[in-house]
Amino acid sequence: MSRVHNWQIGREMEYPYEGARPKRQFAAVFDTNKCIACQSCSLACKGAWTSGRGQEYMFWNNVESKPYGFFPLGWDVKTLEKLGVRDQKGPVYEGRTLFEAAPDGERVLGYLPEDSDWTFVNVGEDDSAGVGIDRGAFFEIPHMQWMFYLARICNHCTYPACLASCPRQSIYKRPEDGVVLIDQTRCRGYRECVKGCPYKKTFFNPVTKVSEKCIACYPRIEEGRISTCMAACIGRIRLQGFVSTPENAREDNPIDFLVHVRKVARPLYPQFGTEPNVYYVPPIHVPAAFLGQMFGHGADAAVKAYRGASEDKDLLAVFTLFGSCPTLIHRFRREGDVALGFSEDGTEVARVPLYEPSIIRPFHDAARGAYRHNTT
Amino acid sequence: MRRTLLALALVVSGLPAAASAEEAAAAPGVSMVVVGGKGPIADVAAFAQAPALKVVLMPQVATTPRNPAPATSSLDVRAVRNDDHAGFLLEWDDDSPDVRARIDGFGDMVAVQLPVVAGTLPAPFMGNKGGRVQILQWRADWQTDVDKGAVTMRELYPNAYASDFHHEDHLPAAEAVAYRGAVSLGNPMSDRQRTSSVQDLMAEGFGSLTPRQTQAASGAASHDGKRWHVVITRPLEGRGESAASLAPGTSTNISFAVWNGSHREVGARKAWAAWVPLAVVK
Repeated sequence: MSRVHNWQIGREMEYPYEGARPKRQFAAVFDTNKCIACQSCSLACKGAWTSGRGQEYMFWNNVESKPYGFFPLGWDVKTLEKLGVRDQKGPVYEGRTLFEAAPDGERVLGYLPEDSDWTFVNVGEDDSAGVGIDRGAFFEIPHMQWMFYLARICNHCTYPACLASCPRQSIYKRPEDGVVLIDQTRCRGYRECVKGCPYKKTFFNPVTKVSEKCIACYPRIEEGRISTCMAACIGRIRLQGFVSTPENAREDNPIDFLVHVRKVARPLYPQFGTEPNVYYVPPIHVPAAFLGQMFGHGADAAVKAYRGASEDKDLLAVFTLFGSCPTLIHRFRREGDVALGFSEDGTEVARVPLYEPSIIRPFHDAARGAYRHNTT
Repeated sequence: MRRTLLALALVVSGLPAAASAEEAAAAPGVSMVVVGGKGPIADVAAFAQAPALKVVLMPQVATTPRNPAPATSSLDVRAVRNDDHAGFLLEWDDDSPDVRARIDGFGDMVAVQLPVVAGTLPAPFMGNKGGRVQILQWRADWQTDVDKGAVTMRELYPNAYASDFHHEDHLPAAEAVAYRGAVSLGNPMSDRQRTSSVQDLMAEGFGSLTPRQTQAASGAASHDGKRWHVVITRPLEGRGESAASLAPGTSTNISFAVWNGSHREVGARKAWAAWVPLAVVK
């Protein structure tokens, strides 16, 4: 085991390989408050990459309802149960990561889902949690009853558990963009990666007899374009780019701005220790204890920052750029009430007003001698 | 050196620690019985005159991941040769044959290992740097591919919804490549027109297992409800690079591994044996 630094848990940790950060790291921010679970992302990915034989059950991208939705069944609660529920309550995580908690003879603490676990892709859809609503109740934040949608892809972790689990070193992390791939010529279908990945985002193909996973649409990234799940998002909940480590954060990098500067987006289950690189704006209507378990230290501060976005024009500018263009936005700038996005070579690729123009028409239309109603 | 290594390996295997180097060296090995004819030896009847050697199997605990309690504790081995081929009959107890690899299930497997340089003793655990081994691995799911055709989702999951539309069927070959994954890239694991249930591999230590360019081995198998009976056959001459020679009149070493699919044994999670002497009778 080597010692590597994981900034998300604020300390060094054990990992089977020496730490070698890529030149830049694929990352995305998903705003859970905007997701409506339309599954456009899931279908875009399905059509692009998993229409083949043996891939029928796979969703490299899926959207599940939380807290009762899972794909595969119970993926996160099963791992949390094995790890022993230890939330990251401060900047430094004091519990054990999945690498540090690995049983004797294993590289990672994990489990192999059973066939039936993959069967109910949309189990728990829209099921809500929380206390009963009594007579006289009214909506409060956080809600008495709540649920939210969690869109999930491979996190292209800095310290991937799939990569750590593979005894053949068939999984590698691209030095140019941090995308994690399974070498399709080298894999022998042991499923150690399926067992090891806590997010359950590697899949065994029983027809090709090897495992497969999200490739972050790397051919598109190489052309400076966003991945297909991001491009298909009609709710504009997603922003794709590259994340830096905190000490190298660049304020004009929209991902860095959200993750490191405004700290409005948090990793998914940082206590697992893999340093996942899809960051989530936590749902603002959900109890803090749940958010703390799922998004770690700072989830409450992220909610606070998000609720203040209407007063924070720079933050509003970045959120305005979500889903604004098919090109990867490397830098952003706000000019007054307009957000600008730039590609890697500095070309302006997005220009979006922070506010839509609005016209307030009088209740009485004198020209037509009619009254306007706000219902029809 | 050879005696020391053998003694060490046998102690590790769980045999009585009191076994001396002399006793280990005198341990019974596998001796090939000569049968007539030429070509691959696929028929179990060919082994009728060959004595069986009971090989003790031990858990693989030298590297991770490991399974300290594999399902199989011994393997019966018989060996024959004809004019140009060697055959190994491998039999072991397994009352739950696993002949297809499902999403959460593994197929049964057995393998024989030979040092590439005859008579040497590389590390018994898949060889070592500079101590290359040839491994012939029979896979139950490959046997089913050969006997019944390539696996389909409908066969594995007859009650599941499985779309019959696949991009690969509706695109020019050059564009379909991206939709066929490991099949397009020629990974032998994914061969859809399989002709052999045995994969011909080489290794120089853990994690280095690599298919040989020349695939020269084949196999046959039956299961009687309680035991597997598997034949692995290959030419006596070593064909292609990194092929162990089995020239008549020479002696070398051989070792074995067994995987029980029902117990989720795969890769490094296996039961294996130390080297035993192998005589290729003239």
